[in-house]
Amino acid sequence: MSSLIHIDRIQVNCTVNDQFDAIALAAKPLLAQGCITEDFIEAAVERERTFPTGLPTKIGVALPHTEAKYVLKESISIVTLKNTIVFAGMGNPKESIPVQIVFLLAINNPEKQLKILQTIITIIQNEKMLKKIKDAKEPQIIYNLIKTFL
Amino acid sequence: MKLVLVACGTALATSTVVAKKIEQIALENGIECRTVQAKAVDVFKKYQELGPDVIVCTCQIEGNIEVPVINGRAFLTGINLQSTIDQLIEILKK
Repeated sequence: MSSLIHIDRIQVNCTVNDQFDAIALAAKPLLAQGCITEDFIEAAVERERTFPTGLPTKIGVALPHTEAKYVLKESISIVTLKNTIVFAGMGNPKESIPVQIVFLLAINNPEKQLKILQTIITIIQNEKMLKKIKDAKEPQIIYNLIKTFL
Repeated sequence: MKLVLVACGTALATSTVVAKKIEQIALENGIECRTVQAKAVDVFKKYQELGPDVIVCTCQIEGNIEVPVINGRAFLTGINLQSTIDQLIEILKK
């Protein structure tokens, strides 16, 4: 299993107020584990405002991330939301996308992490997988699901 | 050799995945093609410098661009993927 995804970087069935809350929540374990700088959250929120990352899959997904300089240790945090939260559309900030799964990417060497990034994209294109992830009641379930793709 | 400029907000995550997919599609279709990644803020500069045949982006881009611009989101979502691939191949085969 890629060391970027850990069970303690997965939070399920969460309640948040808005997309920026969702980013902050997803960043929490990464901050606690020394994977990102404190400025990461603000930078990721700012980037989300300018270059949104919502994807209009059947179960909406967002891929917030920010620049490499805020990443101390490459890592990925996953949050599933109890209720959908609106993110703006990637490439189209005026589009409102209801999102239920957030992959927060703390990456500084995308070439090295290509496999895990491609795996996430493969999962995003798999509606059944997205449903299983959304419905997961425990982080372990999501961890195991993703493991089958690596 | 065709040149595809691939852009996303930070040139970190999505453009890397999209660039690899484009390289693979080109290979499968016997098209010689190179990809260059750019951050959204640098796209226009890179466009002027490199003169790509096409720009594929997962972000909104600004400036007066006179080559085709393809929305690369389909490479991530899989939605309307085939029509996006067809559009890209048509441009690259010209």
